[in-house]
Amino acid sequence: MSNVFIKHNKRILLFTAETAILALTMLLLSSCSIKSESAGSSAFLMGTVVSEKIYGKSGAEGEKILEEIEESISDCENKISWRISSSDTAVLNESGTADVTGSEELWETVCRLYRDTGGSFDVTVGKLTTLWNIGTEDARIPSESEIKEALKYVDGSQLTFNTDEGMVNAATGQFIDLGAVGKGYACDRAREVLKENGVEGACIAVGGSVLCYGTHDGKNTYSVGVRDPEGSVNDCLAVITVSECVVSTSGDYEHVLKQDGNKYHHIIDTKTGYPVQTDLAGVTVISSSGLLSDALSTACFSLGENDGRKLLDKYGAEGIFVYHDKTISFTDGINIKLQGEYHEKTD
Amino acid sequence: MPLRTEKTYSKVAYLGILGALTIVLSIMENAIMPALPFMPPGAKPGLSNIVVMFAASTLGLQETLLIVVFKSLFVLITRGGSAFLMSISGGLLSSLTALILIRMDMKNISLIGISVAAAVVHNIGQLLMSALLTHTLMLLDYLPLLMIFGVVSGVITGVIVSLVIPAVSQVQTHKYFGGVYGEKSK
Amino acid sequence: MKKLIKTGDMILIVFILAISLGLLLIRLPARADTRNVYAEILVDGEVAYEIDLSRLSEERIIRLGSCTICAGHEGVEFIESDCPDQICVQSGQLSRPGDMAACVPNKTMIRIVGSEEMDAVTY
Repeated sequence: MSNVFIKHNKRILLFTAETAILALTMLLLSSCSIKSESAGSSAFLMGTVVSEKIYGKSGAEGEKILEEIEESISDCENKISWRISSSDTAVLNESGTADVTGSEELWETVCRLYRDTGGSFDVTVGKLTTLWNIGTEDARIPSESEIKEALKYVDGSQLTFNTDEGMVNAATGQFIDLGAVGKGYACDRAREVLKENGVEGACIAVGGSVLCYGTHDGKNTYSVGVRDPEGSVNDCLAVITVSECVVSTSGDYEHVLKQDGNKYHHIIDTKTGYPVQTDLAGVTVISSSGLLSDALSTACFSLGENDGRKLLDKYGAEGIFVYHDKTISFTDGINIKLQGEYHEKTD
Repeated sequence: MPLRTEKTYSKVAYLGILGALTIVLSIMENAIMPALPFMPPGAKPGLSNIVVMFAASTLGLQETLLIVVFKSLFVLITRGGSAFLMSISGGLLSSLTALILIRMDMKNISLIGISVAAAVVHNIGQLLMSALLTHTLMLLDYLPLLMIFGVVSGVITGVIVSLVIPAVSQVQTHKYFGGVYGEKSK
Repeated sequence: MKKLIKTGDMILIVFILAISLGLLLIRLPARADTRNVYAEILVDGEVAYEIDLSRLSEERIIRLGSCTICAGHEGVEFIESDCPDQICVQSGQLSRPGDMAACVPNKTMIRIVGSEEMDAVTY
């Protein structure tokens, strides 16, 4: 009976088998996804870890572009880091004047931000940061008199940028530290390399400043995690989905000096000379400009949320304000998913 | 002409049997669900559709819809309002699809193809209703998977119906009421 | 025995399978390895709870109307419901990104979302 059955219905059975196989194949295929070719690298630059991932290029060409990117970041460091004696900043600190051709935008922006933040953002804070040295082995708590003395030289109004000549001038004894904008600025330089080379997409992290560019794996957004101040390196309190932009964070947890049961972080208040006292644990800023995202994150941290939001609004940037009590407040234009115990601020 | 003839009463009985059969298959279907954990929630092997397809191809529009509604009412009584809505949305759409396709009497499509189409439409209809009920579009993620299962269950149902009809067509009662797909005139 | 299957049938089936393949490819998120998975519980289309499973130290019982949901480190599941079908409860434990269970009569849904493999971390 069964043989007859099979013989008569061979066509059906064959057909059913075909269909089943086709269906199964598709179920299997559904585990595939679109992936772009890519190349990646990491390096130690600007005193931090730089990691790059570029899409649409691979092999030798990819390697070459990665090298170019790292070179541009290194060049950037040579140009703006006060620790390098040939940099514009070092020259400025030494002689009170410097030719900053090539980075006019940087100086113009820091001067403007000094005014827009009422002095809270001030790169002449270098006089104080080099006193505290938080984040280095020489970190210490300066005496009150040392701080008072240093405060005399913290005055951003004395820092002037002459657009025509491309010259920057500072008063005698002032010390400029571009640490608050350096990494973001480096991201902008890296972006230029990407554009020149026609790279499809990229995600480059210069320390905590992350540049997102172009598209990858068929998507035009990137997922950037916001580190949890209290967690370890990979613990994130939220993940934001962004398209092209630079994301930077300033917080009180990255460089800290612990002494006598107190914690001293590295963002010094330009008015008091001591680390900024705030309920904020960190501020993350998203902007199309790396320079701005880095600078604004520091500025907002010092200003606090209310004034910070106004500042962000003025510069067309988005921000996330993270508080010590694990509450978070963020501007409307952000696609964010909170994680763990962090929740939105309600008041 | 009298309103009720012997034929009428016989037909009622006949339809009653078909209706009961649908329900029994429906119960069986639900009973074997735990043995099929790989199926997305709400997807069923579609055994009760055998009767629906049978009715669509050998009887007519009214009879088929009657069976569908009958099954759905049973679902309403036993499994509640939302299950009813899902059953009737899937059932009506798929039986109408089957009826239309059968009407069209296309040379290249056999009962199996019609059965597949009906099964897929049935699943899509149910899925849309569930999305409507839960107010989300998330469940639509199951669409491709359900379509594939629709093909599989459609083939199985179609094969069974194709085998059943020739066998049943020998039975007196059936000859009284209906024909066989492919031979029946509009 | 008449031929049961016709050309048209095959064409139709291939067509349907092709569409479902297409749908799968379009909508597919890259299945990344995930460290953090969190469960979304929706009621009537609105997200009622978002629970980060990796941060749960003990089991959490949630009562939403007539559904009882249990969320633990290993996964989330409907443990009780007053619905006649009990499809929700039968779905078992959800733990992988993409896993879903719904109690249609109660308009309650659980979905597991993997936090995407992050492209970078800002700090």
